[in-house]
Amino acid sequence: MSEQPQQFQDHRPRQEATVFDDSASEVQLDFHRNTVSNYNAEEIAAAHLAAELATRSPSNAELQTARVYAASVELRNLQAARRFAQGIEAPTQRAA
Amino acid sequence: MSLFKNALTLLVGNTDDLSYLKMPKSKHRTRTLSERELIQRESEIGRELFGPIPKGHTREFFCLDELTCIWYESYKDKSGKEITATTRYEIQGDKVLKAQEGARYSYLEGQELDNLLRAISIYYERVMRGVYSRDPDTGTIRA
Repeated sequence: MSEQPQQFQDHRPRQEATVFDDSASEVQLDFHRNTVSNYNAEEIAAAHLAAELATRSPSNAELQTARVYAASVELRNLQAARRFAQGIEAPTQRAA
Repeated sequence: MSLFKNALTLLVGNTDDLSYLKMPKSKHRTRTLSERELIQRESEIGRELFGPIPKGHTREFFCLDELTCIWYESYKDKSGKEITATTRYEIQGDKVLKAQEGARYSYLEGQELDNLLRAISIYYERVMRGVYSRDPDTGTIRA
């Protein structure tokens, strides 16, 4: 039985497919796993919100929410890259 | 080894000195950087995001973890006294808390929030490219 969190890949919002390249090499996919395995309900909600906002004219409050979410995703990706660079997170290790 | 030497003798003749077959030792051994070293490299990029640093000032800006960014600035005032200011920006849900020394806390709003979010975005792009050699859009390692 795989340790990978299958539920995220199965329910990943569509626009996430444009953020991460599934056709990348093994190392790249490892980074992908490192990143997406850290995703939680908040990030998935952020992706859904961004997709929804793209279909209409959002309010300033909604835009702010989406931008803060986007920043949190960027920081999360940075953290994953940093851990990977230190070699302390195995490529396929599931985040705690 | 003797089989190898015999084969080599057939190919190149003299096999008395095989030192040329040894791989040269690399002068530049790669090593894994510590988190502190990586953050220092990130901060070299981060400190440049907010315009010129005034003469005599020391500035650092880096993202400490998945939720926290740090701004540090120090300088000497006219009397020579060292002034330091550390500001912590903490993402809390859909808001950003600004925490300064002296237990001063406030949620960022308006232009200040806009500036920080823009800075984080630029920081992310430049650090991913400059420190981690990754494409910020895909996370893939750049050639």
